[in-house]
Amino acid sequence: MAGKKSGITVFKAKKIITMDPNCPVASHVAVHEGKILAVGGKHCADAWADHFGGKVDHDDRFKKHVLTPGFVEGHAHMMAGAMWEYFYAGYQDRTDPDGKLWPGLDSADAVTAGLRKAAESLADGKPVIAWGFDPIFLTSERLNRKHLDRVSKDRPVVVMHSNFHLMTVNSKALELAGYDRNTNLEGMARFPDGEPNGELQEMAVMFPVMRRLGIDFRALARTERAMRGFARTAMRVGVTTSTDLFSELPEDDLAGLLAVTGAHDFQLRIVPALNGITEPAAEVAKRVVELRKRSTDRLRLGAVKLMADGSIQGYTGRLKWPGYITGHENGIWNTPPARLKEQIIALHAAGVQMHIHVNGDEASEAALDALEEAQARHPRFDHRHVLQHCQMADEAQFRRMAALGVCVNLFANHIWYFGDQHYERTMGPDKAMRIDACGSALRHGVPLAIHSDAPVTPMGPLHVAWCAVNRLTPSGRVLGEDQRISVADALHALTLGAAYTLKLDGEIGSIEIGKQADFAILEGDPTKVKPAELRDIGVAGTMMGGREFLV
Amino acid sequence: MAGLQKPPPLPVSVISGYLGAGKTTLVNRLLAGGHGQRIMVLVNDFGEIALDESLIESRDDDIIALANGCMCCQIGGDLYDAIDKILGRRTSLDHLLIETSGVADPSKIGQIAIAEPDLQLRAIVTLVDVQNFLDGVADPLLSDTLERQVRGAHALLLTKIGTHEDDKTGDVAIRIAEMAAEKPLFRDEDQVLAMLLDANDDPSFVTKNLNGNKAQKLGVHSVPFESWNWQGETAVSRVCLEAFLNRNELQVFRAKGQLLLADGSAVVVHKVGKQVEITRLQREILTSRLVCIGLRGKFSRSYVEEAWQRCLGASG
Repeated sequence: MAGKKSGITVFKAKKIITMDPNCPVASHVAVHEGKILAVGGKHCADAWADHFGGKVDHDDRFKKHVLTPGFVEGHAHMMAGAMWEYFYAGYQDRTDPDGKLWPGLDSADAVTAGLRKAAESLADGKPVIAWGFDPIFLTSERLNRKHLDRVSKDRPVVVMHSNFHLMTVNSKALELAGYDRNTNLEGMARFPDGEPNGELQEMAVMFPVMRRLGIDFRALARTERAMRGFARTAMRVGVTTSTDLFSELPEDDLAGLLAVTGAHDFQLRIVPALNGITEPAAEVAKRVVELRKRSTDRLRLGAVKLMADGSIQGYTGRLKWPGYITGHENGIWNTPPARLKEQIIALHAAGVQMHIHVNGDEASEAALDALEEAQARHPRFDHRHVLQHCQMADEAQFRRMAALGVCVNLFANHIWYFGDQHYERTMGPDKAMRIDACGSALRHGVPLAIHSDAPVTPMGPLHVAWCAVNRLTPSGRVLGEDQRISVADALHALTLGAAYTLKLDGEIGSIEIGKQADFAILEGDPTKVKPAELRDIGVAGTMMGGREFLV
Repeated sequence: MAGLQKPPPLPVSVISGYLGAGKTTLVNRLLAGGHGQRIMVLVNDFGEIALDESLIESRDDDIIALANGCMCCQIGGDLYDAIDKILGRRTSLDHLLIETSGVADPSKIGQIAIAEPDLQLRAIVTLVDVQNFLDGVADPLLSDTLERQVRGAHALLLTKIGTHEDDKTGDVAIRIAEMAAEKPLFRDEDQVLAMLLDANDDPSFVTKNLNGNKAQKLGVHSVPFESWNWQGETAVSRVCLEAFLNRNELQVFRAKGQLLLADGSAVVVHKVGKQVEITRLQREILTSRLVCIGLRGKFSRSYVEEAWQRCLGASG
C-alpha cells in the first residue's frame, strides 16, 4: 500500500495504454494525491515540482508491467462476493477472492469427490452447499441424488446450478423438504421408477430446501464479507470501479456500504443502481436526489435500474418472432410493458438516468418504444440511458439507439459461456450469430460497454474483451465473424466506454491529467498478444485512487 | 401423542390479474370485512391498499395489523423473503392471500404453496377486466401473459361489468370459455369472496352456510357450488383414489378429505382445479371422510357417488 498524500510519484511502466487520444501510449505516469498529475516520459511531472513541494519521487516497481486505465465493470452484482461462503462446483476453474484456485469439476463423480473432501471441513450435521454447477458441460450421467448421497447420508447436500434456477440435492435434503415419490410437483424431477432423482427445478420447488437450510444469497450479498470479497474479486481482475446493478438500498445497507467502502484499504469504487421499478417514478426521482447527496468517492449513488424481461437461457427472455427454437413459450415480462413505458417516460422527464435490463429482442424493442416516446414528449440531451445486456438487438434497433442517444452495455461474456446453447437451444443460428452485437453497436455509433454480469459469469474484463474480439464458443464455433471488434475497441468498451455509461468518464476510464489514479497492472500487453491469448494475460493488481493493491 | 405437533399447513390463495383488473379492490374488501378470519394479505405495495386508519392496530415497515385480526404485508423486494418472514412469525393465521403483480403467471406462484410443506394451495383466482381484456389479448406484447393468467387460474372473476355503455362482458366470457372452458367463471365478486373465505373450512360450506353468518355479512346470496359428502370405514387403494381424483369428467372443482388406505396408512387429500395433493397423515383415524364440490349445473352428486362406489369396489 503506497499512496503518498503529498509529493509527486512518477511511476515507470513497461508501457502505459492511456485511452487518451492526446497521448495514447506513455512510459511514465505521475500521481499526486491519488490523482493523475501528468503522463508521458520520465520528466512528465517536472514542471509541477515547484508547485507541489519541490520533490519528484521516481518509482519503477511497474517497469515490467503494462498499465491500462483501471477497468470499469458496467454490470455486475455484489452477490459475486458472497458466493464463496459456499463450495464452488463448476466446470471451469475459478479463483476465489483470496486467490485460491477452485479447479473445475468435470464429471458427476468429480463433483461427488470434491464435495466429499469439502465436507470434511464442516462440523457434524452442517449442510454441504455448493454453487456454480452446470450440467450442460458434463458428458457423464446427469448429477443426481445418488451421487450426492455418496457425499453424505447424514447431512443435507445441495448443489445449486450456475443459473440459479435448478439445484440437485441428496436424499437427506429431499426428506427435509418432505419430498418423496408421492409428491405431486412438476418441478421435482424423477428417476424412471418414479422416485425423486434429486433435481429440483425453479425457485418454488427449491424454496422449501433453501428455507430449511437458511440459504439466502441476497442476504449474504449485504454482508461486509461479501462487499470485501467483491472488492478483492474485482482487484484480482484489474477492475477499479464496478456497478452493483440492482439494489433496494435500504438505509441500513447504505450505512454499511458507506462505512465499508470508506475504509482506507477498500479496493473498489462501487456504483449501486437503485431499484427503479417498484416505487412510483416521483418517489424514485426523489430518492435519487437524496442518494446523490450522500455519494462519496468510492460509493457513487444515484444510478437507477429497471427490469423488462428475464434471461434467454432460462427461457424467460421476451423474444420477437419466431421465438425460441425449441418452441418454448415466450418469456415473461418482469414489468408489464405498459407500466415499463409509463415509468421510463416519467423517470426520463424527471431527469433520472436509467439502466434498463433487456435480454430478448422484444424487450429491447419495448424499451426503445418507451424511450422514443419519452424523447418526443420531454426532449433531453445527453440523458445517457443504457440498455443493459441487450443481447438480441438487431440492426434496426441499433439504428434507433443511435438516433435516441441511448447507450448499450452488451453481455459479451455470454458468447463463450452460453453461445452454443443459444445457437442450438434458444434463439437458433441466425440470431445467435449476432448475439451481443458489439460490431453493430460501433458501426452505428452507439456508445458501447461490455460486461460479465458477475456472478452469472466470472468477473474478468480481459475475458470479456477476448469474447468480443474472438467470439469463440466452447464447441469451436465463431459466433458471428462480422460482429468481432478490435482489441483497441474492446479495451475502450471496458474503460472509457463503461465509464461513459456511468457518467463517470470525466473522472475515470483513461489515464490523463486530473483523473483518478486508477490503473490495472497487467503482466502482458493486450495490444501485442495474439487476440486468442487476450484472456490469458495475468493481472498483478490495481492502483485505485493512488493506492496500490497487489494480487 | 407428542405435545408438540406440527401445525397444519397454512392455506394459500392467489389473486391474479393484469393491471387495473380490480385485485386491490377485492383485497381491500377482504381486509376490511367482519368475517372473523385472520387473513394475511401479501401485496406488492402498501400504497395501493386503502385501509381505514381507524382499523389499523399497529404497523411497521412491512406489516400492518388490523383490529379484525387481518394483516397486510408488503412484498418489497422478494416474494420468497416475504413468505419466509410470514411463516417465521406465523402466529395464528387462518389464510394467506397473495396478490400477484400484474404480469405474474399465477400458476408459478401457486407452485410455491404446492411445494412448501408449511403451505397448502387452496385456489388461484384470476380477475379479468371486461373493458380491457380483449384489447390486451390482441396486443402481441401482452396476449400470452393474459392467457397464462387465465389458464393458470382455478376460477375466474369478471370485473368492471356494466361500467361502460359499450359493455363487452359477453364477448369476454366467450373468449375465456375458449381458453378455459371447464373453469368456474364468476361475474359476482361476492361469490369469489365467499369461496376465498371458505378456504380454511369444510368445503361443504357453500351449501351449509349459504345463509350463514359469513356469507350474509358479505351480502352473498347465491353460491353456484354444490357438494357431495361421504363418510365410511371402507379403505381405498391409493391407485384407485388417484384415478378418482384425476377424473376430469366428474367436474370436481375442489375436494378435501381424510382417508384410510388399503395398505393400512391414512392420508389427507386436497384437490383444487387439476392439482391433486395426497399427503400421509401422521395419526390414526377410524373413519374416512371425503367432500367434493363442483359448479352447479356441471357437477352431479349421483355421478360422483357412483364413481366413488366403483372406486371403493375396485379397491377391495
